[in-house]
Amino acid sequence: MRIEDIKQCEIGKPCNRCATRMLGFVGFVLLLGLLAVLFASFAHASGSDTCVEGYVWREAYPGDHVCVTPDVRKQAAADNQLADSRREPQGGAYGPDTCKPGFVWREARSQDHVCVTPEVRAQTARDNGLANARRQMPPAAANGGGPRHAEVWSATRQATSPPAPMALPKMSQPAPEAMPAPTPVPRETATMSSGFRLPEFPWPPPPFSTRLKLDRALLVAGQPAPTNGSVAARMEQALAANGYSQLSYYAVPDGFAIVTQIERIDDRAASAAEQRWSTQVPPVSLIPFNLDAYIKALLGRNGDSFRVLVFAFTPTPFAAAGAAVTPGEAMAWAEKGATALPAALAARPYGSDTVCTALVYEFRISSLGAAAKRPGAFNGEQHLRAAGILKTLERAP
Amino acid sequence: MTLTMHTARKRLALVWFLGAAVCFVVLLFISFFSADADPTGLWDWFLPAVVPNLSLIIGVLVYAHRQAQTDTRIDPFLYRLAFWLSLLYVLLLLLPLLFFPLTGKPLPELLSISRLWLAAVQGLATGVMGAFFVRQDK
Repeated sequence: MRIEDIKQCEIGKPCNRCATRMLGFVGFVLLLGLLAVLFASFAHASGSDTCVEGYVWREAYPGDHVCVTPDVRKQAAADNQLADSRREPQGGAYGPDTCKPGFVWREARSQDHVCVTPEVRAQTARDNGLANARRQMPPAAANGGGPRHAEVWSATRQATSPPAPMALPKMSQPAPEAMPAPTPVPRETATMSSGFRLPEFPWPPPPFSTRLKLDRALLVAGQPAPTNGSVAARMEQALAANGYSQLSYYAVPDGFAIVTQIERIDDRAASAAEQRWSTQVPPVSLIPFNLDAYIKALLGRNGDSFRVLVFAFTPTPFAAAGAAVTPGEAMAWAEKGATALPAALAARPYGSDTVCTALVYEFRISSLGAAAKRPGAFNGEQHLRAAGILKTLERAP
Repeated sequence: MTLTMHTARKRLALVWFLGAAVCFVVLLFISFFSADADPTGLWDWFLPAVVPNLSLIIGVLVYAHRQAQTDTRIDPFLYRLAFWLSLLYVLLLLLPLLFFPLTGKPLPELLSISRLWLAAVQGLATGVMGAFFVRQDK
């Protein structure tokens, strides 16, 4: 069918075959469109930007293939729609993109000046940091291509990944000069060698009772070329020497975290001699009945302190955010984490800028329930010293 | 012995107000003197459990007082049913509050579980009490 024929049909000239030809032409165009869609889908599915199950592209801006949860994607779309209403109509100190009070630039990429709440900005930064961990790996790596293959694929990812903001200044008005476009420093947080991915630790971390930045020398001393694996092993040995046998590994932005199981502590922050790993509150005996113990239990004075230690190894600065964690959630951390670092991540060099921060989550559990203690009764050093961890690390060669 | 409506009302009111008062004092005690308790959760459990029934009883007492009618005889079956269901309910209300130290389970957990049986018995007790009062006031 020629274009002239179509034109004739369009201007309404009498033509017996016009309808048939028109239908044929439309069908042909539809077929082409279908093929294009199929091709695009295939290209998408086989491409390296494909998200792992449960994640979708964020699409905060055209070409934004950072994998996020469907809720985050909806949030990004909603923020885009509300972008104009959140900007100062007359502009401001930072030009026409100046946000209204209470909003900050999202910075899904450095030029992303959509105004969002600080929580959304933090979530965006976190998603950027975990972008690589949420993408499907190339087939060779998934089938055991080995660390070398993973490194090559990782390098490709680094070249194509969106920039990952490293710091999250808390300010109501974003200041371009105060927040330079972050340098892309994407790193892998999950192994690519065996198809196993570390579960993600809640990030930014929930509010903790106290924290302690561990001296780097404690972790890398005596290691000419420390790797994530060797550092994790040293920490694991120090923990095991002090009775922490059930450790869980998690992914955090640009690094990993080790979580201990919840333990009962005494009034000096040392591990409790009895019932250390039990969160059970002993019931008051009915026979013989002890009125004093009963009144204490009635008022919740029979409680003990508990703690969970989280060692976060990451070069990314962070601040606690969100709701306080409950003891139940903290207990679930120990259950849901991985048993070890994946091989590819373990083989990666321990970055010179990587910092190990011990986060201490302290709780009080009594017959009246459980609650987080914030701030805690002890500081971070008191906790780690009383637990024996610092002493063990200091003795290590 | 034949019970009059006046006496029946007073007995039912006594059961409910006494039970509620004991719970109230225990919760007040915990709220004031405990550092670990979540008072919001405790009162959130207690108030819906007693306020509707206490309101019903107070309403009936006030109504009866204003009517100033001669005292009438009651339906013994409905009265006994209302009385024993009310007593059962009040005991079930006190059960988790006074016995949680003996169980080893945290109070919030027990209160949460107790909502199940309390809702069932409260519905029955309220229904029977309502029927009892309405029937006698006709």
